[in-house]
Amino acid sequence: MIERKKDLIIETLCRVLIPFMQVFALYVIAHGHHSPGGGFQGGCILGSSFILLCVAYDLIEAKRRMSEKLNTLFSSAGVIIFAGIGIICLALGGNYLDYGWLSKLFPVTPVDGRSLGILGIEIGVGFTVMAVMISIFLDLASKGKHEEELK
Amino acid sequence: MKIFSFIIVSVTGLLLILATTDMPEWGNPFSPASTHVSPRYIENTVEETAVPNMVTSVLADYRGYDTLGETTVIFTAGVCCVLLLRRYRQ
Amino acid sequence: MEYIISKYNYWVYIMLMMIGFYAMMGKRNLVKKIVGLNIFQTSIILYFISIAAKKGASIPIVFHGHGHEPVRAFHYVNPLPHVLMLTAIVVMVSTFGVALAFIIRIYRTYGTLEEDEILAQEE
Repeated sequence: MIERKKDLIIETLCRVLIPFMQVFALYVIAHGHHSPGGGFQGGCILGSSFILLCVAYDLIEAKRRMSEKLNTLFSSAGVIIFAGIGIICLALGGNYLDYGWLSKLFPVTPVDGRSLGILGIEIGVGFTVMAVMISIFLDLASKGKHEEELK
Repeated sequence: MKIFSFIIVSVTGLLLILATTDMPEWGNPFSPASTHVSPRYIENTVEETAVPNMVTSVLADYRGYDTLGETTVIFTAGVCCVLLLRRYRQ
Repeated sequence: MEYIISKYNYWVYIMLMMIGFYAMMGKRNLVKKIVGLNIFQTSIILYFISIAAKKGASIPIVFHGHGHEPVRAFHYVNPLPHVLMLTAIVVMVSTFGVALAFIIRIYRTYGTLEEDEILAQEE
């Protein structure tokens, strides 16, 4: 296979940059209420921090951090969080995805219950978008081969 | 093939430009897109949901069901790529 | 003449749409067709965003100044097309990913990416 050239500047720079990208992505998800942002935008930034790891290092190194099994778990967990919040609201007495009824479970007013429901939903969407971006990139870049064939 | 597609593209472009004579001008605050249900979302977002960002409150609260369908679409695209490309050991 | 100047945003986006349309139909390589699809979808997204603009209005986040004055609809940009276009952008990215996966499979089966060579191999 092709010999990978180790480049010290790129490796060190990416090692410093990737934690800051992830913290910024979590900031964008959490501040979706007061500034532009939300689940989709933060999930994309989280996915692209992992793609930077793949570009700077090897694909095998990156797969060691986030295996494909963990990836599919994350993507399913995101959809389950979203649908699960809707079902909790249904079980507490309201319509599906009617977050005002979350005030029966947590000690908040119905108006603040809607704000809480919005935050939970954005977290679920962020998980799914991150996992699918990583999954599509790994599938396209490795063309489906396993780890032994990638070396 | 290229001449044929060029003719089709120009005819479609001319028809679309002819359709813009009926559209509202750019920046008109009384256009039909901004007058039916959108003022209700703008005026009631802080007192009903305590979220100042109108885009997030419309996306996740007033139209939350569409966002559920959207998340399913992304998930399905990820599953499609896995089905097309991964080769499994027999 | 003045109706061209007051509606020039529609003209620009129609030109972009037609460029993408021509790329999808007139080019022979499969990757160039997918790039044309991407240009088409981008122009539709920008067209909807331009519908939402209002003269002299601010971004769609409620500004909490001193005191609580009532929120009026003509101070803020219409948020509905922005929301719909978030969904459209996500659909764009998903379609692009699945289309590239299809292209990899076609290359594995036929060995080429030109449309006329694939059709010749099919006969």
